[in-house]
Amino acid sequence: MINPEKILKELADLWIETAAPSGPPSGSNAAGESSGVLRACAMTMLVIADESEDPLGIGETLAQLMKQHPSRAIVIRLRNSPEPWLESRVFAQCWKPFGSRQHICCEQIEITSSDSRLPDVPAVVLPLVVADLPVILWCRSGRATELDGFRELEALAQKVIFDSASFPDADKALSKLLDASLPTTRVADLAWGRLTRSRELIAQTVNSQDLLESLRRVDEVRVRARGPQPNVPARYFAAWLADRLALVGSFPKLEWDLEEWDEHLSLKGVTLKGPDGFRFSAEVKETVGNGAVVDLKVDGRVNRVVLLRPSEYELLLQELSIPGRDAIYEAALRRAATVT
Amino acid sequence: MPLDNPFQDPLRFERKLPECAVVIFGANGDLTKRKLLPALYRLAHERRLPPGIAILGISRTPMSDDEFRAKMRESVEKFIEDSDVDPAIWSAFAQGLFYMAGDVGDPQCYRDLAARLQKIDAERHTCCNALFYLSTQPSQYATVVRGLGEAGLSKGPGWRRVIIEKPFGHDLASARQLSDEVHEHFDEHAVYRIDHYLGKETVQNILAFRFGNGIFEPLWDRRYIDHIQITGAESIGVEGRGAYYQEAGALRDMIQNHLLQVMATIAMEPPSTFLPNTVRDERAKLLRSIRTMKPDEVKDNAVAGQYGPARIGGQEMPGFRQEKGVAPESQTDTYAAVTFFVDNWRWAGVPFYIRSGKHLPKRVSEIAIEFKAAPHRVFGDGSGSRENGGGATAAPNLLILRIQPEEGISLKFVSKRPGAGMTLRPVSMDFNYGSSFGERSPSAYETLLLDALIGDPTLYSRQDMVEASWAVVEPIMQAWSKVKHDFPNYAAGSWGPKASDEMLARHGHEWRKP
Repeated sequence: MINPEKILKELADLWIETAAPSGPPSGSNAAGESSGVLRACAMTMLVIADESEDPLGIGETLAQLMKQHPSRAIVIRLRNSPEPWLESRVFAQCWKPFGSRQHICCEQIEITSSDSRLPDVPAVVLPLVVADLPVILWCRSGRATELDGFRELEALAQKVIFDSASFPDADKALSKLLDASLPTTRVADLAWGRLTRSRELIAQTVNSQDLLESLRRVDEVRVRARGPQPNVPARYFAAWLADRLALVGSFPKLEWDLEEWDEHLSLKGVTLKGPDGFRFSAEVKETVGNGAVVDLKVDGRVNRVVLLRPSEYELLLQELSIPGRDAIYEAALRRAATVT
Repeated sequence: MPLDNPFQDPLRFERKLPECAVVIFGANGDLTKRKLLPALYRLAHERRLPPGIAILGISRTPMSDDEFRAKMRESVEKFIEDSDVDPAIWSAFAQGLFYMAGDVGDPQCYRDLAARLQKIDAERHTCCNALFYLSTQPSQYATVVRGLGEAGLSKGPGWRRVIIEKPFGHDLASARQLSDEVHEHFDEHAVYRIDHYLGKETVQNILAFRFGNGIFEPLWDRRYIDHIQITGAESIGVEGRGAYYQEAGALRDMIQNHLLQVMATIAMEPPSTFLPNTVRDERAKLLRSIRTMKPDEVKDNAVAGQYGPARIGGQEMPGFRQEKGVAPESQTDTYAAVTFFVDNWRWAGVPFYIRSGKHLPKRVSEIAIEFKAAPHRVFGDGSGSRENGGGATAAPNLLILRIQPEEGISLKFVSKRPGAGMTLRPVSMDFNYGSSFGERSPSAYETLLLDALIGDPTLYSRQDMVEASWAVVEPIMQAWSKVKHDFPNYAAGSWGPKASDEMLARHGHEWRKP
């Protein structure tokens, strides 16, 4: 059993202990020289993840995020086990900004729940949510969305961040994302954030008046993606291109080049063509370490760039820096659900 | 009509800076070493600068590019405040650092500069964009601008902008003359008059605080605010800059520019949008609404001070007149305090007290907004006796906006002391920048350099703002120039001359001791 009152009491005790002269419990060199602790909180960050997933990775990502988005983090670890289970613990994440004598600390609550006990969790979380501040739900488990209790957790949040890569198939992922997108709840997908740098490169490459003029006459968009069926990133990309080209009066036909490959990439290229010979392409030439070498070709000129795969922390940072609605993403999501 | 790029996504894409060359005149000076290069390096460290950016330093001293790079690295290591120098980032940054020796009074210097910029453009593809930073003696501003103009460098295929450091003139007439000379070669939209106070995060936060929240603005007028105090205090003296400071003084050096800009930010009307000219229009309007003193009003509303010798912490501190390069009979104000009134509906009758001084007890810049007392004192008169209402205190509500150090906002109000009886005590509700954001704030020069490179002049002073602030302080300067002050009139390490306290006492107020 978990008692939210008890968790709140533990948090209060934690702050008393943290503010004691011996310094914050997790502080590295604070003992005996504490100049006080600043408690920082700008939101409640609700995280739901499978217990089997890398717990250190989540902890590190949250610790990194705290510096720019201090929060009360409530991490729900889902145990895929027949035995009913529900337990909690609290601790503080502290750091000392460069040149500062004070530690800054954020609260973290960890709840471990078996799948069958997830319906009990929303009632525990509700009193733990920090009043008057935004609630963000980061859903790291596609499986969780199928469980009883998930909808209630989702309803607590103003923004729900999914990663469609954690869903078994594209249609299911897009349908879940559309379903969760409500007037009161904004939805985000880390898979969309992974496309930001590629989208930005395309925007930069065509950023001259003559090339922008050519975009008006694009009549074919070709997307090279992995799989027997277009995956979510490929569908996002195609949907985004179609949406944005429609703004300049261009309604090209969409062609897929689908194939299988070993690399971690879900998308290998995109080509825009016009009847006047205009041709723009972005093509992955090779993968290197944590990135890919991409050739951007326009009207015969080639520019080679390296695109690095963003970390989970960078992707979350991107999402948390958008407090309101993201009209471009929402339009791409709606269209992606229909392009095949 | 130019087409917009349909693929842009301003919510997610980084605001890209255009490739360009930054030309710093006075590259061997203190400002370049202490502020400009550390700020530019820090921007490079955060990957905010375009890869092809070139920084070309110009001064009289002969030096090679490599010597300049070594010298600048030393400065950056010494003056960067909240991070270390990363050798890999420095190495990439240093490739874009160049140097040219030249005499800014010699036309050949500008011909050489034009050739050098062309060469740099060929190497680094700066697209002929150039930002000229005038970090020279103020007396050389007009010469440099003329030199640039006559060499054809003020206009070009790319954009050309010029940043001018304060002081913008030494009085209203000279400020106008400087503007006229600058405008012969650069249009006003290309002129960036830098007032680094406006680049400070907390000064920018005043706008967010006032216009991003609904609860404060309704209280922000003569009905609820009793008076406002703006303090820019320094704990150090002139530190070897006696000769320069002797020509400036606290009124010119701090109040005419920094503190009047802060006052304008505190008191301006809400702009309709956050666009450069709408914000600057409101600031300018406020500066023009400040009542100009008549000569006979100066005595009661402005106080000049100069620090004398003192012993602080067992150490003998010299007075201003004992500082190197200062005349033994100097009449320079190292302290100035002024009472301003704003003639508009919002602020009629509300005094704005502004003070600035050298060798005050601590380094602090803050704005204190004192609210009017509650109309009826339910809890008595502050005597503490139960007969008088239960030990109340008459402490006013204060809103403190701290600019430096420890940027933040505090609201002071009274609260019941725990225990039996109704004893009240002032308490403080504090917002500290560091605790809410945890990340470092960019320095004022980082913010302002970035804005100039992007072409956003919101935080820069416009000609009409500069002229309006000179118009406000000029009667005080003229009145002070006609009297012989009885200096020194405050001891180093104190909060200024007694006359300053008396100035506030006449209105029933007293200075806060931050």
